[in-house]
Amino acid sequence: MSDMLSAAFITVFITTVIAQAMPLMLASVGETIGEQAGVLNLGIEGVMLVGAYAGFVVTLSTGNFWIGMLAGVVGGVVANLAMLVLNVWLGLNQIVIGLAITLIGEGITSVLYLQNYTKSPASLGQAPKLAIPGLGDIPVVGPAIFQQSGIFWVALLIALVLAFALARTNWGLSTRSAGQKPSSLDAAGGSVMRTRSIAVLLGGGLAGLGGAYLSLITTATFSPLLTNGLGFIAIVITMLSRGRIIIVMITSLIYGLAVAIGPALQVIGFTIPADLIKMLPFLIVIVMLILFARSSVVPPALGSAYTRGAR
Amino acid sequence: MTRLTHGARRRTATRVAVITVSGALALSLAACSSGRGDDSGGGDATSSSGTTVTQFALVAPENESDYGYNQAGIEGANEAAKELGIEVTVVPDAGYDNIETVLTQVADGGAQFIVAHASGYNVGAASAAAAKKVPILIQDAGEDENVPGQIAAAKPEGQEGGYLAGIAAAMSTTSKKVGIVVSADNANWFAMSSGFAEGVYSVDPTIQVLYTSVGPAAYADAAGGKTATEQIIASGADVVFGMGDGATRGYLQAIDGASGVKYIADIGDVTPGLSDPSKLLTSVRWNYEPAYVQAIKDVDAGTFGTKTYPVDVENGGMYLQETDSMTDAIKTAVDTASKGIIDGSIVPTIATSAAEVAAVIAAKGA
Repeated sequence: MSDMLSAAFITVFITTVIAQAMPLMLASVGETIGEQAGVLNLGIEGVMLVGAYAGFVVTLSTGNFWIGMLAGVVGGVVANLAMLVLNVWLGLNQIVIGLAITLIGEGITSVLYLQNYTKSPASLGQAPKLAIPGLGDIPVVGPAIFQQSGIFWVALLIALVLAFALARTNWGLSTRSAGQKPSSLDAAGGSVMRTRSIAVLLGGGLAGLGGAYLSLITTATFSPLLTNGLGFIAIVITMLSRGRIIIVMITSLIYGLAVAIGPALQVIGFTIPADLIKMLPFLIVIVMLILFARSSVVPPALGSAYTRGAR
Repeated sequence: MTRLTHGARRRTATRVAVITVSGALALSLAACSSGRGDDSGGGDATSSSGTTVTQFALVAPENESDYGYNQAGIEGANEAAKELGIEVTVVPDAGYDNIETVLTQVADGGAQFIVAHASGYNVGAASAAAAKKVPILIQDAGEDENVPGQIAAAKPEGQEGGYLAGIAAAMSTTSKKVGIVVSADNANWFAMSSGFAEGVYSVDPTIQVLYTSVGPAAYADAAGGKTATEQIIASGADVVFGMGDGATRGYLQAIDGASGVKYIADIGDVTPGLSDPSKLLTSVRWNYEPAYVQAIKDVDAGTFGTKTYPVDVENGGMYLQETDSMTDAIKTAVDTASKGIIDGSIVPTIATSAAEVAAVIAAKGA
């Protein structure tokens, strides 16, 4: 067993943890912003799939991963327009709309993929790496962390900037007010509609970015239902993280660890039932729910449409 | 009387509009669907006793882009139709839900013989065959599942193909470590894995065989497949034997990203999925054509449902794909082993679970 734990093996293990964690982290950050503004987006699974497919198609045709990621963002925003119009603007039920977006996202991406790529399945290859001078040469950790694609660093930066913005800026205060007590935001001269609209579009863009990260970097290809329930895990993580993006990031890493550890244990010689391997990430989420659900706090106005003057 | 605010009136109007549009859509869909399928279709009229099959169908859970099981089934059906000069209708991407309904609709569509191309279809296929009196070829079932005139099984002898692949892997590895990646708890893949390990050990028992599974039914999990393959390569394996349906796309991404690694595919031809085709050592090809042709002939003769249809080395249903990486020495060793399998002097173990595969791997050919 010990001869299996080589530097190369540990490097790949760390790389896998990060690759699995990043799509979830980006989607969860988007969901966090939406939920803090009072919009529960159960359609995140479908939005991620639209982003993943858009990113895949554009990268395949342009050969440029950055443009592909941008397409993922645009795809996510477009997919979330339904939530914006039907929920934020028209006040329809968030749960019903969210589930509809998930089903539509799953269906439309599967149909388009099967229609266009069945006969000539395509792969994207690897995104160009960005080796950070000095740090990239550190044994084991260097190749795993400091020789990632530039997209990884940009995604990480986006998450950190949003963590700061949500906690420390006027925009963040308005966003949280829209979820805590929208009437107060309204009374203070803010626009609940505009605040929630921005949050929903931002959430869609981030979920789309997460989906694109999954198809372009983590998997380097697209297949129907690629997200495999990741969007729903993002919703759970968001609720457990109580609006703190740093906790979202840490929890996403734990998920990545759970995904990576199953195959790793098998390779180093443990005979583990395949069911357990597949269950492990979900088991960890359930355990976290049991441990922390009582302390999770959701915004009081979460899921409620806002109508000025309504009691 | 309740007075509505302006916002509430607007929402009410919107809801009415949404309900109206949804209702119209539902009605139009119902109208469209009423034109599909015909309860008096050809299925009922088809008898398995001495019926000359002029058209048959294959129903598969995925499509040919899996480079594997589905590709082999679809290719086999097309080749069988060509050989017999009859029509075939391929129904790909049928998934695993409501399969009895799908098979019934296919029978109603006029198919005189159906290949239900997944072992997960077996229960639904038995019901559909009994209801519509259409002979259906199921997968991976024993003789006891046969029903004269209605049900018989195609049975791949995966351990034989795996054994040949093991020989090729053992003669190609330089790191003395080879890996197996499977995407599901599948009887065929357990058998191929045990055969593969024994084939490796028949050449060199000191070679280390690593085994990993993506999940119990992760057939289409490309992301999981990539993760598992990357880890098995990182642990030192320089030949990887992958079995995976749609998960194969993930395996191929990992192989593409690695250097000095050879890949052995299963069932189909994965060459189009690799950016560097020289990384393909070989593929354990499954050719369903002989089984389908024989089954259709038996339907014509009225003897369908009295035997199973092997897909094995002896009838050419299982063989290694020729590639530039297959050296003459490997080809000679594989030919010798093939003869041994056919004459019965080599009988690879048929593992039926991951634990049995682990036991074969641990036994090191002892």
